[in-house]
This record gives sequence, structure tokens and C-alpha cells, in this order.
Amino acid sequence: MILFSSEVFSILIYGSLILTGLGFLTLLLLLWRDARSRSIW
Amino acid sequence: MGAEESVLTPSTGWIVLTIFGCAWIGLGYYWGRKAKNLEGFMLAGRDVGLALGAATAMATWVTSNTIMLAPLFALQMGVWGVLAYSTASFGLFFFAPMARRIRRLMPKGLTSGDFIRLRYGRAAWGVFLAISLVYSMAWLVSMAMAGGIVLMALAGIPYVYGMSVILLVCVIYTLFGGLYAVIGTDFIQSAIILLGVLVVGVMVVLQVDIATVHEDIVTFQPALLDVLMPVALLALFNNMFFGFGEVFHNNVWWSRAFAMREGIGLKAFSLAGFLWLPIPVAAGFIALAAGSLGINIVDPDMAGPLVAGEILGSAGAVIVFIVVFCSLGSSIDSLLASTSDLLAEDVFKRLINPTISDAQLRRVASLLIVGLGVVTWLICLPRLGRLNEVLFISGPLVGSAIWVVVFGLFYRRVNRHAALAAMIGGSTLGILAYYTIGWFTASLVGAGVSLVIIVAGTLLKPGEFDWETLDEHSSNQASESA
Repeated sequence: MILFSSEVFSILIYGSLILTGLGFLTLLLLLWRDARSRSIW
Repeated sequence: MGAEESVLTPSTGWIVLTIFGCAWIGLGYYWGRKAKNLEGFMLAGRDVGLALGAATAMATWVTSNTIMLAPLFALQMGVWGVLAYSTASFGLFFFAPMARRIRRLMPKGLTSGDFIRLRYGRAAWGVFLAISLVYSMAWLVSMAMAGGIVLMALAGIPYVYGMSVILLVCVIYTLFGGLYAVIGTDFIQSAIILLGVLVVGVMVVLQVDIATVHEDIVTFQPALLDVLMPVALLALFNNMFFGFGEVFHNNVWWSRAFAMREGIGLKAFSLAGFLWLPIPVAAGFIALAAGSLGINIVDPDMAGPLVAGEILGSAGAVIVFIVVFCSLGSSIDSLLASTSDLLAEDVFKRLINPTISDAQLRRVASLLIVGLGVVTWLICLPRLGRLNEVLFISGPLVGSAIWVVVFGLFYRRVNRHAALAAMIGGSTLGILAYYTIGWFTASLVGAGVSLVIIVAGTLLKPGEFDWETLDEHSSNQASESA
């Protein structure tokens, strides 16, 4: 049986958490940008 | 499971429900004041920007299943299980260019049904509506039922009360504010979901070394790390095509494509895909780490809240409760809004009263939101477990609509007979595969068969569609002024 290595496993976990954090920040930044240009709606 | 076995006390659950329920209703009412006409109510004035556009697409696609079922996939199918779940985000990625095309071809379009009717004629439109309504109702019912079950499991709130409160809150704010309320609350809900998953995930990583988790899995459940797990690989492709079918055909996504400002759709749906992609992986990891944290998972559905409760105390369980409540609200409100639009525009206006005014149609859409809420509540009341199966059976149905929508949007040569035959043939053989081979092949078969039929039908008798036909509103105005 070929198994996923510890490195691949770590990349998946850390990658998913980093992406989630970046996603959260991106949403806030975009809202701030849209609010400044009065283009939220 | 009763209150004595739940992670939170019922009183804590009711306090959280009351706070967030009142907040959504208040915000829905506040934003709803902008909805002064039919376009405002149904499509948020067609002026939604990138931040709200991306957030609403992401939040709608995060259901309670994403939070609660991804851990189950992880514990049953390991790494491939969570990757299979995260392929549902591909639906958002691939819908991105379609959203741009939809906005360009139909600047005044209202529903996905409008597109099928104008592109393929009434017969295909009828079949498409049937597929879409079966799927939408199945999704709505499964979400409301999941709400009742999850609130009972997390906080010991009786099933009927939890299910009723979630539905009632969503019906009220969707009724007040239409798509303005839905998209506005979706933004806050998406931020809460991302932050909640991040906090719990980071706390787990701080408590346990990932290399240790990997080592424990290698020792006790090596199959979960198997690079070649056939069932999981099939599930991966099946899930991906199920996701394509769900997103491409459904008015939940089309209404957002119509609602976004020109030039926003492509960016918003692409970003939504990136926002959604890591969530099942993070939620699945939380479950995989349970063994290394010494947590005994008896019920895999409850892995997320159990782990969060163990490492963060009751605060962790409250976070999961709020995240699940937001995931449920963001999907149920979208389904109520877009399904009522589909029924109002495609069924009431097109089949019952073609001369209805916009103001009257808005009232009909409002009544339909209430009607959908009542029907969903009545179906959910007896808590029939087999109802969830309807959602899975709808996999081949929506899978059979993938190519009908994609080719219909981009290739003028696809003809209406091929589209109709593709949906009927794909649905029939896909359901057959569901019962004879297994759930993990049904959407694949539905999508594959419909692809063969639509390509063959187009090669046999190529059509020549005039794209301007899709801009029905402008065509009507031109003919009226002539």
C-alpha cells in the first residue's frame, strides 16, 4: 500500500488553514475597498 | 440523543439562536428597505460588488454538511475523502466564466429557467424545471432537517423546535429583504464561517503535532492515507460532477450571476472557489486529529464539535454551533429566495398569468417564500430519514443538465432535441446506476450519458442559434417600439 507521506499531509493541513485565513482577510479587504469606492451594492 | 448527551446546554443553544436569529431578521429588514421594486427584491438591483458577490457564493455553498460531513468523509475515506469533498469547489471555479457569459447574454434575465426556455424551447424547459425544482426542494428539506438534527445533537434543542426556528428566521428575513437581505447576511455568515474554522483548526494544530497525527494514522488506520483508494477516487470524480451539476443548473447561482454588476461575476465566483476549497480539508483534519488527541469518536457526524469542545472547552462548542447555524442560514435563505423566483417567473408568470405586473409578481414571490417555508416545514416535521436520499438521487438528474447548460451558453450549434434527449437519457441511466452500481457512480453516469447524447445529437443535426434571442427584455422593447 502506497501511503501519503507526512510532508504531503502537513502541506495539506497547513495549506488549508493558511488559505482559510487568507480568504477571511481578503473578504475584509475587498469590503473595505468596495466601501471606499461606494460600490458595495 | 438528548440534552444530557449534547455538547452544549439547551439554554446556551437558545441564547445563541436568539441572538443570531434576531440579528439576521434585523439586518434583513434594514437591507430590505433598498428593495423597492421587483429587480431589487429578486436580484438586489443587479448591482452587487465583488466583496458581497464572492461572499454570497461561498457562504451559500458552505452547508452544514460541509462542516459536519467532511469529518465523516475523512474518517471513512481518509485524505482522498476530504479531497473528494473539496472538489465541490470546482463547481464555483467553472461557473465563473459562465457567470460572465450569462450576464452578457442576458443583461435583463431573471432565472435559469428563462435561459433554458429561450435557448431550447418549452419541452426542454419543462424537463429542466422538474429537475431543478426536485433538486431545490430536496436541498431545502435536507438543510432544514439537518438544522433540527444538528441543533439537537449540539445543544439538546428538540428537533422540531430547532428545525422550526431556523426555517422561521430564514423565511422572515428573506421575506423582508429578498436578495438584498440574503446577500448581506451571507457576507457576515461567510466571515464567521471562515474565522470559526480557522480558530478551531489553529487550536488543534497548536495542541497536537501534525507528524504525530500522521504517525498515529499510519499505525492504526493506514488505509486512510492510501494513495490508491479506489472507492475514494470514484467518489472524488462523482462528487466533482455532482457539484458541477448542482451549481451549473440551479437558480441559486444564476440569480447571483444576474445580480452581480457587469464584470464582477468571473472574479467573484473564482474567489468564492478559493474561499471554499480549504474548508472541507480543515474540517476533515480536525476529525483525523481526534485519535492523537485521545478523543474517542463514537459518532463520526459529531467529530467536529467533539474535538472543538475538547480543546477549547464550551467556547469551542459554541464556535462550532455558530458556524453551523451560519452555514445553514446562508444556504436556506438562498434557496428560499431563488426557488421562489423560479416558481414566480417560470411557473406563475409563464404558465398561469403572462400579463402580471412587476409589482404583482413581487407579491407572488413573497407569498411563494412563505409557501416554500410552510411546505418544507411540513415535509420535515415527521423527520423521515429517507428524505435525505432524495438529495443524493438528484445527483444524476443535475448531472444530466451540466452539458445542456455549458454547451447551451457557449455553442450555437447545439439543438433543442439533443438537449431534451440528453437530460432525459442522462437522468434515467444515472438513477439506474445509483440503484444497480452505487451512489458513487450515479452523477458520473448521468453526466457521461448526457454528454454522449448531446454531442451525437448536435453532430447529427447541427443547429444555428441566434444569441440575441436570449436578451428577451431588449427584444420585447424593440418590438414594442417598432
